[in-house]
Amino acid sequence: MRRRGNRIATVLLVVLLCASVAATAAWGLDLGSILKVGGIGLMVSQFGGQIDKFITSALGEREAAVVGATKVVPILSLGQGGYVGAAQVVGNPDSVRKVKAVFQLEGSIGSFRPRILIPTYVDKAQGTPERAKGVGVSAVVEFKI
Amino acid sequence: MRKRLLIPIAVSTIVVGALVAAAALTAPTVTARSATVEGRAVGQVLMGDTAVLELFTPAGRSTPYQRAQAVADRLRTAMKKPLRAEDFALSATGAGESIHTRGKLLVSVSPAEAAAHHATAFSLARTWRDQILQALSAKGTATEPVATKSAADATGKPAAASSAAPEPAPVESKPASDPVTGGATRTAVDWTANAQKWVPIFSLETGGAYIGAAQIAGPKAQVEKVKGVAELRLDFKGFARIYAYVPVSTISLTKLDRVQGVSVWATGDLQLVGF
Repeated sequence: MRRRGNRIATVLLVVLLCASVAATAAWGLDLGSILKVGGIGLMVSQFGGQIDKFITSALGEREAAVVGATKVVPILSLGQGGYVGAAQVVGNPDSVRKVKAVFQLEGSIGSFRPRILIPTYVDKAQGTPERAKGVGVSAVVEFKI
Repeated sequence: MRKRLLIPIAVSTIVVGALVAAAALTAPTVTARSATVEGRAVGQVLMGDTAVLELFTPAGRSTPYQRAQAVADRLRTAMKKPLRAEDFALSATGAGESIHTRGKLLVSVSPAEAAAHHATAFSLARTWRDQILQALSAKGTATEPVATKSAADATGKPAAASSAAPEPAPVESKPASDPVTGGATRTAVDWTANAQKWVPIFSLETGGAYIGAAQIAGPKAQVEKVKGVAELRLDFKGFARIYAYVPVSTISLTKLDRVQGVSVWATGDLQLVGF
């Protein structure tokens, strides 16, 4: 019984290791990439207010900014290479306040290019990430990982 | 030696004076005044020339004007540090509502006060908060009272004509205008009701022009105005990308008439022309 449990654990570990190696190879993640993602994420969290003001003045989101309906958060884009940067989210002020990050999934089917933007917050009660309703993306600045 | 010291002292005094003057010019002055609306004595709180809120009802022994003075005092105290949208909080207090700045009470909205404005306590509190934020953003530019009009807008009833002046002599007020739209008639937007829809998207990029569809999201009233989305995308040789979505209320190649508070959830497009 104990041997069987050990075997299952070993198989799971091997599968996880293979998956992580495959993911690393596919996305070309190295220490530099990890530092870049962390560094840009930290900078965006730190200077989000200033970036928000700049984008607001450049794009004329003044009325929305006044009522607290804009905010800048980190963005991670996957699908057409990995990108990390800053995204201005806009929408319902109560939902905007909750948003912590945006995930973007990009694809390419022939010449058709679908993109999905997912502004995300963490549900404090359940501790799970949730899509913020009534919020979307207005502008993005991002760098290749 | 003394002459040498005089020059830096004089320069420092001028610099400090200029900074104080600049600070005084950029921060709107907060005052309170009495006014007469529909034959009733009301108290108004002004930021610069803008009446950001109007109190119709007394509270305890305080008249509306005395209440307005107390609110103006609290607002001046709060403005000693720069105020941002997130510093304001609305909270339910019994049957009414209250506005807090950084956890301190700014003003309470009783059910009687809300009824006098033909609005709910929540919508009136939100209108007042938004008007304070707009006045802060406009930095004291001359605009006229909007409190009564906005509250009336929330119920669809016409705004009451008001007359206002510094205590004690009242004078006629001017028509309401919106500091954000620069004098255009103010429309009360319900920023809480979410909506989304699909609209056409036109994208101009370094590689060509694209056309497709975009799903937009935002406050219901704003989403309804959107006719399409314009996208500008710059790609710096695969190293970095900058792109912006502009939801517009008219389809035009010459004018981008942006709809505020609306953004993009998803897009799908095809190349129209390659560069």
